[in-house]
Amino acid sequence: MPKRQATLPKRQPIVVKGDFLPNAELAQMLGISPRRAKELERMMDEIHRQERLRLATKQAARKGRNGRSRASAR
Amino acid sequence: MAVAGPVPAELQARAVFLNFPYDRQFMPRVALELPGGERRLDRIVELILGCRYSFHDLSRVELDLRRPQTPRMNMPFERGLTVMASYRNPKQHTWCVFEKDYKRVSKSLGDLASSDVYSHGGRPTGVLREIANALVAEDRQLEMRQLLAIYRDVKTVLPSILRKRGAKSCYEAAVFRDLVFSAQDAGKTRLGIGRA
Repeated sequence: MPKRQATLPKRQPIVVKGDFLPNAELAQMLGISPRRAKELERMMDEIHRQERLRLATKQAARKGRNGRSRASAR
Repeated sequence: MAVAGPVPAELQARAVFLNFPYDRQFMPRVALELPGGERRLDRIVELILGCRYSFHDLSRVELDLRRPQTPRMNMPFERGLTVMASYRNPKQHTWCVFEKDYKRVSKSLGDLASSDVYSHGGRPTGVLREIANALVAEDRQLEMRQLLAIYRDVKTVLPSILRKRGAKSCYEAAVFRDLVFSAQDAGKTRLGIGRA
């Protein structure tokens, strides 16, 4: 019977220091125009707005029937 | 973060060379972002030397069935270039190897048998988990739900970026830059950090 191999040891993780670059600085570094950067920010804002809306709708639909299925809530 | 062009010293410390697989329907373009007319290999070496870290995913080292049928060698080759760079400058370059299953490395690339391999199982959650194992933030610990939320944000914004850029692949240079920007922007929101 083959000998069971030991679990692979993991090397020490890389410790990341510092904070996120400001968006304007990152855009400049990547070669993205300020206008395009604003557009990308708007697109991300829209995604988050829709997610909040979806969650709010879901919570409103569930209100009053916590712990019960849709069928038993009728 | 992948950075195009010569990297200033203060940014080199943040730069990560991504040696990831591209699916058959995609064309790798990230290395093509570098300016100038040098050979592709020169540009890749320049990119590696301009990064403090590099992540190498070998999970798609497999036989390409299109004629002529050949193994996909770019990723292990670029990995080899990085190992040599790190031998010459051990304090200036750190690399990590990712694989679907760590046993594949011992079979396909025995020279790496004693190296630690981050095994992600070929799934997005596995990739995020192993990246979180490889990188630890000094001042904050990222939770899996936050990483998944960022992943979902980037996945959701991708079709709009492709449409705006008139692109077919996320590996085109302009699309890739937009994705890097959007990922950081999503990260800031998910972690409650301001944009400025």
